[in-house]
Amino acid sequence: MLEGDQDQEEDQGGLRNDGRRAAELRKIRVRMGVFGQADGSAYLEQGNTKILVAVYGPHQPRGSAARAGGKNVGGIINCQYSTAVFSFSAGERKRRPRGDRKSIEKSLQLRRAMESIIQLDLYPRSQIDVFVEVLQIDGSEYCVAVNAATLALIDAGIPIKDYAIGCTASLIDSTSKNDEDSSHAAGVVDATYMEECSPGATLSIIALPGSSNDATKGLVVVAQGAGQRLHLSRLEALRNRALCGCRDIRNILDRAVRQHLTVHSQPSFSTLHVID
Amino acid sequence: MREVILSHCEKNFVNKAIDKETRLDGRQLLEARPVNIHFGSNWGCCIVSLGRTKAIAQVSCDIQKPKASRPNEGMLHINVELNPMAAPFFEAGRQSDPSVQINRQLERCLKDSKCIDLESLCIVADKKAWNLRVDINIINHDGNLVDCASIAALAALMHFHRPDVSSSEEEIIIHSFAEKDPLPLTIYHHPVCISFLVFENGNTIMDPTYLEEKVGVAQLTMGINSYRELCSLDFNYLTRTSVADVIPTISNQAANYAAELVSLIKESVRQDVEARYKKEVKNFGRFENCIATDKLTAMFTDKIPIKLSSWGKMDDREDEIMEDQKENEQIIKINKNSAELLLLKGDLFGNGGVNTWQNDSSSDDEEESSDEVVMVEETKTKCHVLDDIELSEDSEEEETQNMTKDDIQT
Amino acid sequence: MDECPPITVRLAVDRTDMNLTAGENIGFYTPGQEVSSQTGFMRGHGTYVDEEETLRASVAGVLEKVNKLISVRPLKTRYQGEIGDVVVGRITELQQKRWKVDTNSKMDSVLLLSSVNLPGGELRRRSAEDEQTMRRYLQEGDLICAEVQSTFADGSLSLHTRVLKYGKLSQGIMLKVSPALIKRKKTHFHNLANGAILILGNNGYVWIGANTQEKDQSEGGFTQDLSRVALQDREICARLRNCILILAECNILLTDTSVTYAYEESMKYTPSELLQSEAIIDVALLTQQRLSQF
Repeated sequence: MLEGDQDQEEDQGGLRNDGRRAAELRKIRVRMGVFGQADGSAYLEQGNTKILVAVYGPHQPRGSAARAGGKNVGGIINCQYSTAVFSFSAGERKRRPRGDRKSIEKSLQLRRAMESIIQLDLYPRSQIDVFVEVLQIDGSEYCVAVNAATLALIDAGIPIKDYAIGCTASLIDSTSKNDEDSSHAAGVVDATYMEECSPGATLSIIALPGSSNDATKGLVVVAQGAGQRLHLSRLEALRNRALCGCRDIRNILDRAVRQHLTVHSQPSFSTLHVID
Repeated sequence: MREVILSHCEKNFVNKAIDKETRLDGRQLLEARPVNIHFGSNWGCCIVSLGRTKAIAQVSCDIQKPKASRPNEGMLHINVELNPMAAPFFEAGRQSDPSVQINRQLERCLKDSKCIDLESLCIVADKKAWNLRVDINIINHDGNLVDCASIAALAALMHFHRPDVSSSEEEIIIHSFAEKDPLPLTIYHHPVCISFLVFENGNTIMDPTYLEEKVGVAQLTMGINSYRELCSLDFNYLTRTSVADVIPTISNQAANYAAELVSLIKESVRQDVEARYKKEVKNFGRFENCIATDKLTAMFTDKIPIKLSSWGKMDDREDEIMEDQKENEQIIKINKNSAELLLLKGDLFGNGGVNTWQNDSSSDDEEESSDEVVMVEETKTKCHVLDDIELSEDSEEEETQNMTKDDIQT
Repeated sequence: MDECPPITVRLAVDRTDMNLTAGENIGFYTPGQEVSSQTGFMRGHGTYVDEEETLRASVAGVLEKVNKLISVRPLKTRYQGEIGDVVVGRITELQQKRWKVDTNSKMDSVLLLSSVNLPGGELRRRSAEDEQTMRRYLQEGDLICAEVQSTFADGSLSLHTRVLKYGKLSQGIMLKVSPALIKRKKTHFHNLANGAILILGNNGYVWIGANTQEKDQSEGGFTQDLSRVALQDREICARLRNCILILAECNILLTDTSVTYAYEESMKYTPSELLQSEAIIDVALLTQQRLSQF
């Protein structure tokens, strides 16, 4: 079935299954400050991947983190990555939302990404909690989770160095050699679930793109490659493609943050911002 | 027990050494530690040592119902166990963060890359398929657990043979090894994990030790097969310091080393498997051989690394008497195909290695055959002579005893 | 009891953008944005200096410049304590000679046993017995009102209740709003015309105290007046609560004036009707209008 899809794709004049071009992102919808109780919160949609993030803190360390990191000089970041049991589109259910290896690994990597941007030295002996809930999965969910967590941190007013932006680049079929000249050879950004499952390779990058316009300058914080085999010579192009995607997402999120500020700095009512 | 926090002066020392492109164990920046693979008595069982990091792997299989989503494929489970035996700060029986990380890295490297032909493991579609399980136990932690575990897992999978199965209409028969020869797994390509560590000043090292892992700022693990194809990639910042992107610069080195490593694994697996096929007693590369390698009286190593005065020159000599006047080293001819190197300078002692030659020689006296006894005694006498001449200030047990006697007399 | 209150259901598509003022983009800064590459500026809150000596914003908010000190103030953040602030807090923990108080700050604040008024006069020595009976005065979960006495090096606060107006709070409602909405004023204690007591804590915790009889202060403020509150007074408290939440929702600064205006404008609704969005918009608009007249 998958093979059939790819053949079709060749005929679509370089367009992907959902009609996007190789370097085109999905529609991004942002809403910040969705919860009253949390210090910061954000809801982010990238296509059909939908994620909610709540940030609590910085506050007095409580629970297991307080005991483990009692002598910690800097602050503690506690991340929880949980996937809702109903999040698969195919109708199947996840057995449990968290506690399996993949979730623990993602929590760990989310913490790494957050540690790289939060200025922890400002919060000695405090704790910041980041709770991620994946509501719907359609590819790139870890990257979208990082983007949403960044927005939630901004909403909470926690000082960060820069936006930590995640973006995937996927080589749909790494074995085919005939599309060297087409734009797909460098991979497609912001992969959907179908594209991630294809027999290619997917590179997820969390980067700090900076405000400069030079896309390849971004500082890669976390990178993760998965999937089947990818020849080393194609890694660089894939990485650059993902970094380009990171920069584009940053610009979109930055605009969303500015709009959020404009609306909320004056007496007003919250609105849903839809930004393409 | 909590992990001991590294002191600042230790960190600075390592950083400064890396600045000058030296490593504490004398390796080049992009040089890995020697890999040793020893196989156990079963199929699919091996001990891998990467320097002082050691991992033991065992592949086992049973028949299960295949997954509903993949009805005509067998299954592969990978489980890495970090228990307090490897390092006291690992907690037993709990999924800790490092164990999850290693597990997932291996899963991506071996499972997601589809290097094993799982379809050939299916017996009856949708009903019965082989379920492979790779258990890896880390038994000594000296950094770079991922590489060691991945080599162990790959070697064990390549070495593993499953029982043959014949299926009639209704039932399947699993033949014992005596009835039919066991079958090896089909492996399409051989991915191994290669780890790097980036330091504050941007220098990158390969195969970090435990101490270096505590100092580095970013870690990179690449799963590469011998065809220069990337199967997994993990890049993580450990601290909040920014360094330049290193992936493009070292990926070439990683691919070269991966090819080297894979051929080494292939060769050692081939030797062991061939020996087993011929049913000959193999007296090298087995578990019992890997235990005593560090000891002074260990006669089993056929290759002895001799460190010359300049770093980085490794010399493997066999059947040769070497007299090095500058170093306090001496080689004594023992029998036809082995030589013994006595490191009388502080190399073993200074490293905290146990001075076991005395005890062991006495035990050897009792156990070993007569001609070896003669040989051991020879060693002993030589040692004493050397002690008297050159090792006056080195810590040698007999010496200290003499000292105390002198003290008492005066 | 088969009579149910009416249920209001609206369609999500009917939700309208009700910005009270047109969104004009004044200079906002977002994290990572360059503030200034010139040297000679001092780095304040919400900014950092990167490797290239460029001053960059680290939070999203508005720029504030005092002489050479540049800081960026986020819209929403935890409370940053300053000496002399009035705070409302909740006891979270009892420790040796001190209480730990949650004050919406990045760490729990400390209320030392030596900085409270114990029953029986000002100049009383704190005996070991007092230490053992600390829980009799304040226990976990109790609400207090206090003043910030000093800040510690790590940023946590030390509180005191040495003035009789501070101390334990008895009957009323505590609300949490953003600390940025509380304007620093001379007094944060307000006896409203409707009889309720309003404490606008600088830390964003607001206390609405029910109208009760004059407190007997001789016990050092540790007695709780648990006498019955009349239904009428309860309704006043509920209405005040909803009014304050309306103001907070619409980002209108909380002062005694704005709360009073909102309270007066809300009189045409019942307290429960104030939860509906039409009423929220109406009250907020009218309050905003009255505030801007002066």
